[in-house]
Amino acid sequence: MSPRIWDGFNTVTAATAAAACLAFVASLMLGSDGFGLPHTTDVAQLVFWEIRFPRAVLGFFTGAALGLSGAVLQGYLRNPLAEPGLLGMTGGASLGAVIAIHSGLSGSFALALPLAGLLGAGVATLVIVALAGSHSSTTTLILAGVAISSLAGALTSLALNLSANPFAATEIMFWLMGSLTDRSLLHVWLATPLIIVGLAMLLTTARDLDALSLGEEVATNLGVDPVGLRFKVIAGAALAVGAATAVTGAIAFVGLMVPHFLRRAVAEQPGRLLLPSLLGGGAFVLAVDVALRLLSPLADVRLGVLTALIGAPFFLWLVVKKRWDDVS
Amino acid sequence: MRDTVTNKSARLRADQIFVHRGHSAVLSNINVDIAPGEFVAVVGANGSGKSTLLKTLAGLQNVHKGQVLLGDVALSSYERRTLAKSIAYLPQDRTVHWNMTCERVVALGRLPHRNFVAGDSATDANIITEAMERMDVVRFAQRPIATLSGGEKARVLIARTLAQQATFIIADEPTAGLDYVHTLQFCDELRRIASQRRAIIIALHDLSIAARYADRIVILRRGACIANGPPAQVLSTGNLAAAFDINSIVTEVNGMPVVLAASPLTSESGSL
Repeated sequence: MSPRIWDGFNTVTAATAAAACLAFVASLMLGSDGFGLPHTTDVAQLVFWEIRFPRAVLGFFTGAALGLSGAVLQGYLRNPLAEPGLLGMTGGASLGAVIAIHSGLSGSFALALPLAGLLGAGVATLVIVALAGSHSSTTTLILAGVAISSLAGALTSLALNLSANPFAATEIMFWLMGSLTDRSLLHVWLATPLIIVGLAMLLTTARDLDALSLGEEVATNLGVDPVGLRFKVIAGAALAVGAATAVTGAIAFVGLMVPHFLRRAVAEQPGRLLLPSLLGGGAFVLAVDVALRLLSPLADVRLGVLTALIGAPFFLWLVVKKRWDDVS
Repeated sequence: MRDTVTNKSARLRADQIFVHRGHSAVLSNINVDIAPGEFVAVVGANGSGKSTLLKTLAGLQNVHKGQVLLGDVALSSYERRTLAKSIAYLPQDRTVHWNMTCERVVALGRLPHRNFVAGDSATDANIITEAMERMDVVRFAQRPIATLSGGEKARVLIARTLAQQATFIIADEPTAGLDYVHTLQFCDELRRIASQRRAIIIALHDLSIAARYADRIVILRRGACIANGPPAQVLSTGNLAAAFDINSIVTEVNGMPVVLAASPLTSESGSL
């Protein structure tokens, strides 16, 4: 391994890992009464394990799922603007959850909402597989994803539109904005195993994504199995993003922004972007969640709203920088 | 699935290949047989089926009839990575989707030789450097590929193909856009590779270069093979008129074959 490149990859991996650890600890330490470890009383211990711990774990894994899925989809579609929502799983999970709220099912038992979200993501995945198949072009895959996202978005709007009681409508709106508040260990048990399986599948695509940077024919010549790769990408993203969205709601921009931000640090090699994007995504979502809790004016702002508020200016900066690069 | 190529001197053979696109035939009844040690040039006019033939030989093209064999085994029966160690393919399209450094692009040629998680070994690093030296691109090693000119980029991609160290190197017009010195250096390099019991199969536009370097020339015309043999034998004015619709002059200068396209063939003038 050439030391120069290895160093760059190691540095960015170590940096994102350190950031993720720091943000994780910060999230665990931060309670409603400020920073600090929980008291040894039973109630404090319970609060720690039932409230702070699930929040930190879900924050990390949600960010990791979004960051890694974004990096893999960008590499697979060879398009820096691809993001986890592109294939329709986010839309599907949101629609499932919204239907659960709209129908009142979410009130009947605790896990009805995330289970409905998972079901929605699963249905969206089956539809995209049926539409795009295993041999179609990436354009067909993107078109199928856009079609599913649009349909899920339209049906979500319909549910809001027809919502008879304003409380349900507000609940849907808030859920769509994404949050880590009030998630329990049950949510952790439901989502994290699926997310971990998805992350593992996505991480195995690294060398195939490297080969794909020379186009599909050369990748095939270099030993990539296109059908197997598509399966790993779709199933991995569906498990990771579907499970994350089902418990936290839609969290915008993370999957698009994190790989973008880290790409230069790994000299644009798509396979080397994966692990840093996983760690960086986790760190970013945790950090934003900590910031939300720390800054009192932001107390009522939802996680997904703040990530979008950070994400949009980031893209403005990218545009300015791109223009600057183009003329210089 | 076969995971080894049992015979190092296995031949690559296209056996009665037919390829259709829509209702039209792109290749019809092609038979080509290439042994390690051979340098084969594929020539023909635009749309004559050169690229399709090369893709077919690399196992990247669905065929409607016939099959491509490596040794006595159909390409489709090999594991992909085994095949990747035997056949390297360089397409005409030179797109590199991410702005990686040239060294990383060349290193992609080592992917079939590496296990799942490993980085480049010392052997890989040596092979990458040697491939870059052969194509005179060492000085671009740490430059992002988008900063290179078309010809420089072409050389980096050729180096990538060389780093794959396959027995059969299949390249689609690799010399397009290369300047004279690098074209000649590249062809010398291909000759050297062929002398090591490996084979070269390339599509070429420059007939003089093909005549000078190739052991054998395959001439395609509208998807059919109209000649397949040593340059001196197949580069006749008649064959060139049939394949390219040109009047041509085939001669020798200082012992080197030269093919001159004299004028377009018109229906009145006929061939020379």
